[in-house]
Amino acid sequence: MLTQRLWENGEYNGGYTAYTRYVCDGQGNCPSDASEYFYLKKFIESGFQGQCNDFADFLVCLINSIGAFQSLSQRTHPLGSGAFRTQVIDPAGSLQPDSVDWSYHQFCIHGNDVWDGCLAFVTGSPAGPPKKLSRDTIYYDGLVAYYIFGAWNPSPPSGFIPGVYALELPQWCSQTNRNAPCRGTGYGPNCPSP
Amino acid sequence: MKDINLLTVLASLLMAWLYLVGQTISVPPGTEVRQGGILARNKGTVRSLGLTAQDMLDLIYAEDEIPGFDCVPHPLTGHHTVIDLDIWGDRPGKGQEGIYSRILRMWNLHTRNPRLDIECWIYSSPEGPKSWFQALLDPRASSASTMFRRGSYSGLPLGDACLRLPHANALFFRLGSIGVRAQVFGPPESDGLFVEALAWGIEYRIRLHPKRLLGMAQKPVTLLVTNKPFGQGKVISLAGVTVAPLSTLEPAQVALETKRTKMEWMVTARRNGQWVKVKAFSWEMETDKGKVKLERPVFPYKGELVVPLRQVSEALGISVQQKGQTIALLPK
Repeated sequence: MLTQRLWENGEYNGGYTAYTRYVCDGQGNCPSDASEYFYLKKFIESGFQGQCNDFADFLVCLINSIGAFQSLSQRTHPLGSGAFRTQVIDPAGSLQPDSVDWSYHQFCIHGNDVWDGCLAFVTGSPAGPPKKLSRDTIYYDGLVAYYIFGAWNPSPPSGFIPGVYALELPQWCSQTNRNAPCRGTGYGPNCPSP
Repeated sequence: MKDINLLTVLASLLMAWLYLVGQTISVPPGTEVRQGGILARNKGTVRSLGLTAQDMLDLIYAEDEIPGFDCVPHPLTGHHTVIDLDIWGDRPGKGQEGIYSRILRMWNLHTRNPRLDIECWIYSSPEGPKSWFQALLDPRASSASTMFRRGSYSGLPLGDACLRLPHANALFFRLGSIGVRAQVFGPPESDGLFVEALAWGIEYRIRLHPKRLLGMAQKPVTLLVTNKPFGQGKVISLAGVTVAPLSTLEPAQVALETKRTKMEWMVTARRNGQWVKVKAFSWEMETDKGKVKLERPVFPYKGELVVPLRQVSEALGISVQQKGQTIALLPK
């Protein structure tokens, strides 16, 4: 029910960074299995719009907060280690069903089962947003047409629970924007020491 | 007597309406305000970029300025516009370093779908939007990073730099310390050029902004019609093409007729038997001699349509002479 309603009411933005930031090591290095901070307040205020990270983390919030079961966020493979062409999928919101190239995808897991309110299967089976689908068989077949490079290797292996914040989003940091407010909460992929 | 009472009531209603329409949003530092579908908060208790909520609203289209789209509160959040002033301005720091302000306004076609978003961030330095662009193109941060394309949908140079995400009808540009996202979530009512037309209107607003957001970089254009200056401050160059509100042509004996409904905003300009029809967010104009592709799209600004000045003037039989930053319209 939560997954279905998220897919019906959320707005997938097409796949660009929105209301999450990776937890890095303070030296500007982001591990490929980085956990992340989720800026829940900003996600809600923006009309439930975001990319897969936001949808997965929000679903984890919903499922865990009602005490349904211990859900976690997980990605298709370690960050930077792969990219794949999707099957035809129907994103949450108004974007049209399409087959697209993703450098990763993030979803919600419990054990080896997946819930995903970010998309609905069109060509994959069963049709609709994935609910309790076996991650490495049914979910994989419905999501992935083929890997462009790298391979399916869910990461981090045991998943992660995002840090949930009602704070303002930090700016993205870079070598030339070292003084963006990274203090304590949320680090961009290139963020220097806080 | 009854007539006098009726007039009094009507006058009171008019005054109340004028009060509501003219009301500006005041958001003192450390407060949050909800007003007419707008959620605004000000974090600048310690440091500030010096911008007000009205400054942020000046960057973006008014609620009723995009024909076919309604700006109504989101059914789950209760607002259609979010204004964040001086984010991180509640923490001590060096000058304005690290502070930013943001406005997001959401429209919907008829009902909920598809949705149209315009979002602007104002940072304390150009490094802010540059870092955002890096994140958009980073395959670790944006899952569709490989689907981004550099440049605008038309190929014209929007802002200092521009990115597009075609499958999501999104356009991102940065100009000075400002980052902008314009996006329509889904066809068939939209396409990339419509989104880009929206974005050109935002660049116009940035360049015209009363707080001079680009510093001294924006050179004013002086428009002379029969040797008298007109349209001061509203005539500017957008990447080499001068644009101006249609009303700047009126002193050159141009008559304007506006047809504005919820679905369409069209203006017909007539002069000496010649005519031009332009529509909000269109890339072409109709003339008495046929359709003409425009060098810049038509977009609304404060109740008027802004058009490429030379093309529209010449179609109405007005010759245009430019010398430096001065443009003279010479009615034939």
